[in-house]
Amino acid sequence: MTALRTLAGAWRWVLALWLGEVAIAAAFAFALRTHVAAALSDFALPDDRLLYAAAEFAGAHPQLVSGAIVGLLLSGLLGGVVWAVLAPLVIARLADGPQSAAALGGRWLGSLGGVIATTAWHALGRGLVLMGLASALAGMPGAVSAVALPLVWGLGTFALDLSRAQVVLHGARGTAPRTAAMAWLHAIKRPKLLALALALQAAQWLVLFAGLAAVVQGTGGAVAIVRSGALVAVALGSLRLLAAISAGPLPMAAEPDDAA
Amino acid sequence: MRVPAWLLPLALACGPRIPPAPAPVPEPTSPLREPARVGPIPADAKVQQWTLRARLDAATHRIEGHATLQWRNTSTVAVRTMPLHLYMNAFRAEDTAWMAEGRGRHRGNAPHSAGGWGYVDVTAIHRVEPAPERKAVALQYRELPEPSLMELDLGDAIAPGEGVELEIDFVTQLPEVFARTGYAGEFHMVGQWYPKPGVLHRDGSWHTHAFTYHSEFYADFGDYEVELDVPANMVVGATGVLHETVRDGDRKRLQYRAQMVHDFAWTADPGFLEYTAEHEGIRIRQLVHPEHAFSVDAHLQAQIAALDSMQGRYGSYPWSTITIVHPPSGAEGAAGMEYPTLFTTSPVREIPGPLRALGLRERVSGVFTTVHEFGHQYFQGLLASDEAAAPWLDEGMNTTSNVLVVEDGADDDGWVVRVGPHALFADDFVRMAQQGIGTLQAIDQPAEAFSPVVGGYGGTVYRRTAALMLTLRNLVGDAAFDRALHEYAIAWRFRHPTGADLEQALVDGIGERVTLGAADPADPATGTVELDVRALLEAGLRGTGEVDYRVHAIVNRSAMGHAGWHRNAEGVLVGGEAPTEPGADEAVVVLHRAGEMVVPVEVEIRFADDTTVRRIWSGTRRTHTLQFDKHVRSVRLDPEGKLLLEAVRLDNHRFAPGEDFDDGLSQPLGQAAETAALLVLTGVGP
Ligand SMILES: [Zn+2]
Repeated sequence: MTALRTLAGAWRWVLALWLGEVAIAAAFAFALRTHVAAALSDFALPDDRLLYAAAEFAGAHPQLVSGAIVGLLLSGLLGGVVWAVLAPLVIARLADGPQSAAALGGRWLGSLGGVIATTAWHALGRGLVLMGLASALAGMPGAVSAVALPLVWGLGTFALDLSRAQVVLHGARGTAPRTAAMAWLHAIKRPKLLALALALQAAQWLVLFAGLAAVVQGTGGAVAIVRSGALVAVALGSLRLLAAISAGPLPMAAEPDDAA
Repeated sequence: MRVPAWLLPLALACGPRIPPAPAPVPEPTSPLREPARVGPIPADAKVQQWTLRARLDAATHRIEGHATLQWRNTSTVAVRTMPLHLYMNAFRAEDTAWMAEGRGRHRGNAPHSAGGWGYVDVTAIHRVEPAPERKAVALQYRELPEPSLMELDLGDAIAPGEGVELEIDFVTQLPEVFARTGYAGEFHMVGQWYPKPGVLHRDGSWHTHAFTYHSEFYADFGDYEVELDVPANMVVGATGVLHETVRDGDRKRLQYRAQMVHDFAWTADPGFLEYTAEHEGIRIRQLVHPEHAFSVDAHLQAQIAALDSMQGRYGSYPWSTITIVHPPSGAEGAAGMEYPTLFTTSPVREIPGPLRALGLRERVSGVFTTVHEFGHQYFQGLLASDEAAAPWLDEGMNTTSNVLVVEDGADDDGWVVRVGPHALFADDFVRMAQQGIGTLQAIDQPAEAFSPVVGGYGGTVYRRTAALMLTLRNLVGDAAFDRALHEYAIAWRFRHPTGADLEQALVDGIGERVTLGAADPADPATGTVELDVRALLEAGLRGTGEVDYRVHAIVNRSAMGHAGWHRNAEGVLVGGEAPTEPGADEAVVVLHRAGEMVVPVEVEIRFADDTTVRRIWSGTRRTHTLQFDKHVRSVRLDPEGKLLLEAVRLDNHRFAPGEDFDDGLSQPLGQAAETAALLVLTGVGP
């Protein structure tokens, strides 16, 4: 309940984050739509066989297909970077309530480097863990991977939240890889918090999946459904961050002499 | 041990789903259905009478074989030699014709271990003199340098109308399966395993072919009595009907009988589960390993749909059995092959839950293989064309009929892939395959003319044939085309039709020329547009031109007035007025035949006032200009999608410059892009 109240108090922040996401996604969609329309020129689909037309179009314009993939990856990269840069602000605001711009700015400058560094370590670590897991599961039924990979992804996300909160709120050294590695251990050692974080992530995906289903089914107002879903997902993500914040200071063994 | 109730869902989710087998349907006693279903069998159709004995050593995958062949000379010429196919020798060494082309692979399958060669070694051939002597005379024979062929010296000539009885001893070593026949573990698919004579045509010419990568088979009809001696634990499936089983210690001998077939194939595997069903007195038996058992009902439904469609179109299925073999995991190389009354299918792929939830469905994997391989029971099993000389006659006509099976059997719109409300139809796959295929190679060529290096065999022989036939059907109307193909199928049952026979049947049934309609229905002076059926078949089968039409231009403008200087009756220049205000609306539309292949095409013109008219263009010239006395909003070529030979359709529907229109593609792709981006952003963001 406290978490929900905290979140309600920070609604402007949630809204801003959501608007940022929607802006990036809409810009990407606009670019693709414009390119497709330009490639079609004065022509339209000859009938309502959309899948055939899409396949024919993709065959005739492979550069637009690869462009779309690159655009999607760049959107993701941009979103990831923007989020890493904003994370110290959001964490400070969520943890300690409204503050003066100067105070927030000071905390932001103080922890930005650490947050970006620990984010980079996490990106590397999660990539390695997922690749290792995927190759270990290669011979197993697809259902095993379908459960295990999202679970480990979700664990990694929560561990990243923990690391960032430790860097911003408790002065952990973000540049140290151990700050990232220890966060995985702490995430596993707090099964209740982890379960909450995983549940919140699952809810995020479900909401967006519903939006995807609306788009696929051609439901009227599908884009509005997707965008609203993204807003709910940002709120759920902020709750997940609050869960990580609620873990309090954790022994990150950031000090060199603490190494064992 | 009993599984606790709360674990049942997990156990069910993890283990293969094995549906209970329904009550077994007894084996029919006769390999043929009742005479009315079989139909008349031409007097000279039965050329061979086989008695085969085969003993399988399951450990070494070797078969000791003995064959008695009674063969009849139905030609008008005496013969002294007989060529024999030794198909299994294709897999004997790296330098056979087959391996040189296939490079040791077939449809992406390769043997798992080196040296899993297959071969057939003929050890003796005798000619048995007629009763009462019954003396066996050893005959001379030799493999040709290409070992899939053998030449047999018959000794004394066999006069027209006379027969000969041959005794053939042979040993067949099965290869590790990667191209239709062979073994994988305890699974044995035994096809092309015994020496098979060529086909002697009436003029005395033998028709044989080296077994190459794309060439399949050609043989005469005959009756078979076959004894299979296998380990007692084997579950066996074979061409024809089983009429006796004799157990002998750890082995058993099975007696099979088949009639009016041109090949005999069998399978043996102790791991097979059996599912039988009955449809119109035909026993349908599926042999399947547990991992694929979940899909037996889907295959059965596809089989019944194919039977219903094809019996309606091409006459009764004449045999009393159909055996569907599901090759187990690891034996994918055996999948998708037809033999008389028995075929191998491929697995149904299960769609992952999230994709199902999004609305993804498909009726392609597995079940389409069953439809296709069953289709070969007609297009080659019954209409026994030469697959090496004219592969399009079986693969192409079968693919044509597969599309019709899907359309006939659907209680909905006949989709084969569905994503939410959007669908791909069987004819979309046929159309899609035409992209870039047309100019590569013509359809009507022998199998050996198609090189795997060039590629495009499936797109040309299977799907361009289907695109051509279905385009013809769309143009002349379903009834005329279906009637012509029915006549062909009835006339050539238990015979060996050629491409010329099929073309003639189509021309006879449809007519040489078919009037498609008035070029301009509103103006009889424009004449009618006709389809030259023979010319379409010629261009489609032996040409390499693509069908591609595009709307080149739409020009909306005002009619010019009469202002300016003109001579009057006295020859004096008068007038000289300034140009008048814009005149009445008019429009010019230019159509372009961008492809080399000529076929009439319909065009739909939508005017600014939202009314429409239809025209037909013969397509003979490169461009065609249409004029109208009002402004045109859009022009659509082939509005009903009749020309399945045309793969490029995104230049068919054009809007006039300045028109505001929804292209139908950029909006949905934009929505998909935005959704994908928000999914990714949620993955990396808060
Ligand atoms: Zn086929």
